[in-house]
Amino acid sequence: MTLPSFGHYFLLAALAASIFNVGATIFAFLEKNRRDPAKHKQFLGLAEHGVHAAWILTACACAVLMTLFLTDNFSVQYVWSNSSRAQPLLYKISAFWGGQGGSLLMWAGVQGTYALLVANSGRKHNLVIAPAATAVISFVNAFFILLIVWQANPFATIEGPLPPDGFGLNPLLLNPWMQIHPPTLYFGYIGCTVPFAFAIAALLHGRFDQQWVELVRRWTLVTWIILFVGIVMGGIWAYETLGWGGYWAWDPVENASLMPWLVLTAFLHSIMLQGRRGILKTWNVVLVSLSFLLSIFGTFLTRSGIVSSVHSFAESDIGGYFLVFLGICFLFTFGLIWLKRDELHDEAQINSMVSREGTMLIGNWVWLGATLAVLFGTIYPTIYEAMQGTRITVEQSYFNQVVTPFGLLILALAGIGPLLAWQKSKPVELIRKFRAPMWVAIAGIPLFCAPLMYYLAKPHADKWSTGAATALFLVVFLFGAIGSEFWRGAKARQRSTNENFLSALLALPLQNRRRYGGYIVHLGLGLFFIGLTGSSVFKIELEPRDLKIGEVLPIGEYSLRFDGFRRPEKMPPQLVSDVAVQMTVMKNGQPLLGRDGKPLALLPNIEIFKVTGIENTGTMPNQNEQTARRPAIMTNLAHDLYLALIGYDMEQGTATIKAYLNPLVMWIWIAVGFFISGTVVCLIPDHLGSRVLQPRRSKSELELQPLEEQVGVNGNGRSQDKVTVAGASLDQDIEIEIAVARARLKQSQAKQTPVQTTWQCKCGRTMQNEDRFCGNCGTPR
Amino acid sequence: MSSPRNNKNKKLVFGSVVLLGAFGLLVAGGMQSSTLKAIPVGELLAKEAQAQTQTLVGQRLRVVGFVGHEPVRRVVDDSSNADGGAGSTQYFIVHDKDKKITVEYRDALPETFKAGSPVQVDGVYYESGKLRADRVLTKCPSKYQAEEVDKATSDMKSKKDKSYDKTQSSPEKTGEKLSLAPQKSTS
Repeated sequence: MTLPSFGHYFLLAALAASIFNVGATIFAFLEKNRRDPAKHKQFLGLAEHGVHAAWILTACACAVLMTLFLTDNFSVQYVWSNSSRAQPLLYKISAFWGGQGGSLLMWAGVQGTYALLVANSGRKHNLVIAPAATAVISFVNAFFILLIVWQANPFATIEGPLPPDGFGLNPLLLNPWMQIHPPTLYFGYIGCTVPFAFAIAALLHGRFDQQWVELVRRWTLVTWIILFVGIVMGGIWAYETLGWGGYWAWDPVENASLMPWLVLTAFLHSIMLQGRRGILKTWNVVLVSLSFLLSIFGTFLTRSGIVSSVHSFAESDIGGYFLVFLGICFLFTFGLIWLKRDELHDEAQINSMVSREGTMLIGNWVWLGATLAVLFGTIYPTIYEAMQGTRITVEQSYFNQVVTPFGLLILALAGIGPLLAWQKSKPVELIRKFRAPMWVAIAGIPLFCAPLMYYLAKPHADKWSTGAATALFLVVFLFGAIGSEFWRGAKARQRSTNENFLSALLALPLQNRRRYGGYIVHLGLGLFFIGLTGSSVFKIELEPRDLKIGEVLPIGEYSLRFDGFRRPEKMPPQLVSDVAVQMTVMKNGQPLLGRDGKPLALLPNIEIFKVTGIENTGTMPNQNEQTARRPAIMTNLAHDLYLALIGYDMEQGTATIKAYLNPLVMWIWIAVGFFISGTVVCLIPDHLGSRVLQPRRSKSELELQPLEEQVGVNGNGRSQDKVTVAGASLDQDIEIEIAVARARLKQSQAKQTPVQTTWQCKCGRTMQNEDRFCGNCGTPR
Repeated sequence: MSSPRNNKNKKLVFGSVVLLGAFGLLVAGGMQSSTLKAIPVGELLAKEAQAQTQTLVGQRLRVVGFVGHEPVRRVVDDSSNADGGAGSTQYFIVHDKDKKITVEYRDALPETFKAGSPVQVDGVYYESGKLRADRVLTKCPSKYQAEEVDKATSDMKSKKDKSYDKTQSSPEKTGEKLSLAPQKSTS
């Protein structure tokens, strides 16, 4: 028995454990139907053991593969093709997910972790639906482990003599982002399974109560933000290392991760409607299933090779398995929804489109429309080839052209929606609420939009872009709308609690964490659009230029002086050569000074990597070398100056430089901060939320505080409906929330005071409560 | 059925038709201006030989083939740019066995651009046998397909991994597996 075969057996055992979990859960529910609670419990206990065993075994398999990487065991083909002796330790670790088999193994590990988390939280909180949800995740995981074992076994060994050295990780993957981007993206991507599993479990149990809504909402939020951060990290990686000056290329791999995220965003809004009003139940189940199916479909697209050609699909076995699995999931999910359609009756309906619900519903269509447009663009070449036999390709311009209107609609809705009341908006209210944001937006045209447009368009001969102008206007409106909501909310809170304005403003997000967490994300969306608009519409891209030493290349307001070549003093072992050019950044003829007071220089470089593990056959020069261009970027709030070294001739003293000036890119990364902090506010648990930021108040009011925090978030049944008054404006909402909290406090105080168990009759005799008449004189109570 | 309900249904149907129509128009419009025919070099020239391709000259195409072994010819512009530095045009051969076309390109060639590597060039087929490219993409370096590895190990036999043997492919086949864009990393 060798170490690699141990890994293989661990995987087989993990597969068995996952299947055991699914089987035991099914048996448990069969026993429940036979009204045998003891056996039901017994089987559920067994199923839980299955999840734990599967997790431990998968972890062991992962540990084995990691050990193989760390010990440079090149007899294993996967290690040989992804690692080499000279590879730094961190990259030996991240080479784990550098190829098909290992990344699928990581998938199984992450999915197993999710199954474990769901099972454990189910036991902790006594969730009836958790075992079924766990079984769904285990089922999906079983498929992936099966795939690894059959089709992409990372433990397969090479026969014959042991290769002296490995092939090494692809140079493009030798980047710090490699350590963090794929795992993050995987946690987000695979996280789509959890809300889906809870939806399936709820369908099976017929339980779509408030607890389910809250549970699924929290899991979805976590998944959603992790997936978002993962996608953004991919963008940063591409931007910082690939040297083509952009962060998003509408590549099928990127689209595959974007589509589930778009659907999850829609779901996060529509699940709110189910929580508040008990509507859109079917729609929600469909959405959450769609996000899962899209995540599997995306994996299928990117791993089978179908997006590039149907021919390679026929060669690739892995695609066929995915297709079968996808079909099973699809039929099972929609069959179940059809069977259980009676459980999914809405408790109310949307009365008016001019309401919070109405805008959220429209927003849902827009998100879904964008998803379908992206999906269609991604698979259209495949469909076309299958039908026509010739190959076509969809260019990036399709996505930019089609997704832009959806983006602008979303931006508009993100500002309008929060201004509208639940159920219906009274015209008077509407005018009152839209007044301030409209004035802000109108004032923003001369104060913000026009100067920014002028600044951005100037290097492009004053190019006009209606889309960009619309986007900037909508962003200002969005800021006005969200700002006025915060202002009004703080004022209303101030009236009820006598805090000063600032502490009211700060306490506001904690009073209703969902509402204000959401608003913070909406603000982030505005900033995100500023960055997107600036960097996509007003990007400056120069053709590669040949520069001699001392020559100056102007771009935008800057000019770059080529000041010679730089080479590192100590070459890292995996490199053959590393040449950088020093480009001094100048503005108005003077070199810019960096933080250290020295002239600021950018050093884009070209690294040449050794490709180890193969013999140079000599037919082609430089066959065992790989080139990687590393761009250099100067970032500030206004723009990124982005330089890539394309080629050089040290003897002649020339270098070919490609320069970009990407406006406002920084705002995209700032927006991500807003997305994360808004989501964190939404996720603060109740017991923490009440402790943070206690306002200074009298003692009785301090006791009120924890209850106030809970209003609208917690409680049995649809407590929020009691708080929601049709057409109520925000300030009324906030006053009602506080009033309800006070009433509840009184109620609970009343409960705490010792209840009188006796009563006294006029005649002086003491009677028990349950006695309705006096035992002495017969007088009624 | 009561009339308000009927009215509501009518509105709903009408609304959906309008929305779907708008969506369809948007997508179709986008598609019309953004799709490119992909055609291997051999096929392009074979069609030309049959004198069918008068229509293809002047069209925007994606031509698929392999980078020729002839060195890339680089012609630096005579006059320096008004604002500094000199641009240049690169000429290279894209071939499919003995069929060849010349491609001219002014932007930076990808890092993985090497003689013999599969390549796709997008641009205007402005003259018979000549293409002015605005984008050049080489085979994605993602290891999921791992062509380089496959080629390098074609004589090494693996024990258990069946898929590994099956993904091994001849250059002709890999030529058909060109991806749409340089795929990043793993995901």
